Amino acid sequence: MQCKGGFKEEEHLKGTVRDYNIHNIVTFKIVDQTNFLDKYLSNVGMQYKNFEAEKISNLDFIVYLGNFTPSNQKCYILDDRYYVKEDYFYCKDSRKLTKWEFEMSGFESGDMVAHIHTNLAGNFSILVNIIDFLIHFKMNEKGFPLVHASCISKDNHAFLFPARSGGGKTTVALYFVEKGFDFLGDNYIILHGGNALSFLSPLNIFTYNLTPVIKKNFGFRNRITLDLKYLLYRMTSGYIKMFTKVNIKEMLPNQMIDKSELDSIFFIIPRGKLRIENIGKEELINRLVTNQELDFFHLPFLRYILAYSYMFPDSNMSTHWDKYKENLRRNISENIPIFKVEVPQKYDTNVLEKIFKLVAKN
Amino acid sequence: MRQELNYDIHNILKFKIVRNKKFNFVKDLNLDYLFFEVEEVDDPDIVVNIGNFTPLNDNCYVVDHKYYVKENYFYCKDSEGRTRWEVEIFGFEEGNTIINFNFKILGTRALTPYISVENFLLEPLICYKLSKKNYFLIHSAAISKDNQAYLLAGRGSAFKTTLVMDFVRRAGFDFLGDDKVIITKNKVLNYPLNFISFKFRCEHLPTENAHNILDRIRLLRYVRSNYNRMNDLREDITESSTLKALFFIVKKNQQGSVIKDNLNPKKVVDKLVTNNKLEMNAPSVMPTITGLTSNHFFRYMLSYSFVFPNNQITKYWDDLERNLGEILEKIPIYEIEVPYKYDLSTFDDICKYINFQNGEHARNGGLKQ
Repeated sequence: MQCKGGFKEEEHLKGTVRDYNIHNIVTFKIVDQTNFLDKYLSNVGMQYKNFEAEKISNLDFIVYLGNFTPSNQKCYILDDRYYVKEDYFYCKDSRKLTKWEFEMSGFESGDMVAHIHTNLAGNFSILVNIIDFLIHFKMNEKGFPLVHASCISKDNHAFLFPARSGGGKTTVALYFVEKGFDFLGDNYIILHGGNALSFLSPLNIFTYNLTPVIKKNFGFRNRITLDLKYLLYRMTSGYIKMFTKVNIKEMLPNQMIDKSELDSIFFIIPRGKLRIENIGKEELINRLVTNQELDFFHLPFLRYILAYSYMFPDSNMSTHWDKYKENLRRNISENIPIFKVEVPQKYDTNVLEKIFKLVAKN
Repeated sequence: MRQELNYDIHNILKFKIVRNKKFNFVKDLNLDYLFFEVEEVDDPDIVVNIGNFTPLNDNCYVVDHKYYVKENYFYCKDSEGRTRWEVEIFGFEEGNTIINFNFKILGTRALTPYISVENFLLEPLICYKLSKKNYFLIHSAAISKDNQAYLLAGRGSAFKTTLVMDFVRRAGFDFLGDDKVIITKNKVLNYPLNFISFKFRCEHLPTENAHNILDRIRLLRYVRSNYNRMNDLREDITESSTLKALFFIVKKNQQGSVIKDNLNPKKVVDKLVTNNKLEMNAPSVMPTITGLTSNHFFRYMLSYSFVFPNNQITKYWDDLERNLGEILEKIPIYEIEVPYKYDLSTFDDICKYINFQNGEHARNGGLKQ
């Protein structure tokens, strides 16, 4: 499949081929070999639209979407589903209605190739989840930790809001955007050398975070799909929750920046009332690691990493989280103010106003 | 109807399950911890209340919309497939633990409501509580002969149970555990989960997974006739044994079995810890029956550590690593690769290795095929 010293040049790749470049840190290619219907349903194109680039020669990894034949001979078999050998991982897995087959090789040696094949339902979420993890993995290898947080900035002062989902990352970020701040991302942010680098994924819009500034550019068609998805959500009593994705670049054309110096960090966690306290760097880092682990928990990547490190305890993969922690330590400046902000479970403008004041003071 | 079940694990840990459910016709099937059942316990370490309860989850941190966490407390409503449950845990990291648990099963599975959903909560807590008393519940099978215990560690589907079955019925070994055992200093204590079912499989089935409908009915009848004979059965099995050697069993899709020795002790400890992590993270004890495909407790622990990063539970893994390091330092460790399909030749091979270990040659160190 690949040879040493760079990927084999494959001129005649079937399917749609797209190259992506994230801040010249991680580059990858997605080769979409699925059929028309899958392509139509898949949100991969939308997800990474902002990273699209011209043909790139030195790629970090290639992702093939569509049916494939695994080369899982002479593998160790764990739990009857994980196939593991040196520098190779394969499994068949499922969650709710989603079924997928996943093969990954070259993650230790450098030329990473992944194959993903899913059923119809998988097009909605699992593809993006897996590719997100691959990006996170490569970024971490190169010393650029990706954190689950939103980030906004003014005059080269960036404010980072790490939180679990439901913590109001998007809500807070959009509120600041309304107040004239620049936007760096609402889901992932790359930290490097005391700076925050943008990571633009589409905004996940559901009924509760449709703020005025988004509504302005939202469009009629999006509105209808959102209503239909809400109906489906209610009908299945929460079993199927589909977000409407919109490209943030189209929504906020003039309020985007790539890089900004990290000024302070506000770790948001829902509780009863608004309460703010200072916390130390090490405590924050522990939480950021758990945040990231929890974020990848709903797909069994934690298990995949564990399964591989069970057979290969001295591999790169097995030290993934230790390395991630170390990267966070190195890339967050020492004297940066860090706050823990306890917020009510239901946001209102009053709370946002107070957070805004807190940020403005810094 | 109220039913109280008391359990005592080797006088180290005591727990109690109280059921307040209206329907209680499945008592007979509550087999998992039957081996440890006793008449009464005082001052139990863990109490599980099954039935309706009102949660005391005010002033909690909320993680992911659904996990409610405060100091030493956890609450959530959760579901998987058509099984729904609500759980509240007092004493999550310290002190005596009280678990309030309520569940509901919808759909056709409601006809066979054999739920050991509580086991997915109980087992990790047992694991954690034992570790505080310097006993370690590890995911590994174990057999013994002449007071010498051999651990057979491996991931799920690595034929651990089948191997133990064959060792017991063909080679006269004693049974210590087919899924988990407790180890401490240089001793292995038995931990027979679902012992009657194991005994049935041992007596009637060729391998662990050879279940058809007929076998299931036979199993049910076997359970009924042996349920009250537990005291006699208990007499038969060895309580503890001295740790002699550790064998990792890994399945590989190739022909024949291969043995490796001289494994790096540090890596072996890592492997065992990873194994335990995977187990806590992987499908529960009997996924076909419980209907749960992943073990949710791991996620509960992560959510708790997200709020309280320096909690006691996160130290569990460090404790385990350090203690396993000390325990495994002195014993020989091997890794055996077995083929995809289990047959008696595989057993013979492994038997040979273990007998070899048992014999005088062991002192020579190396073990060649």
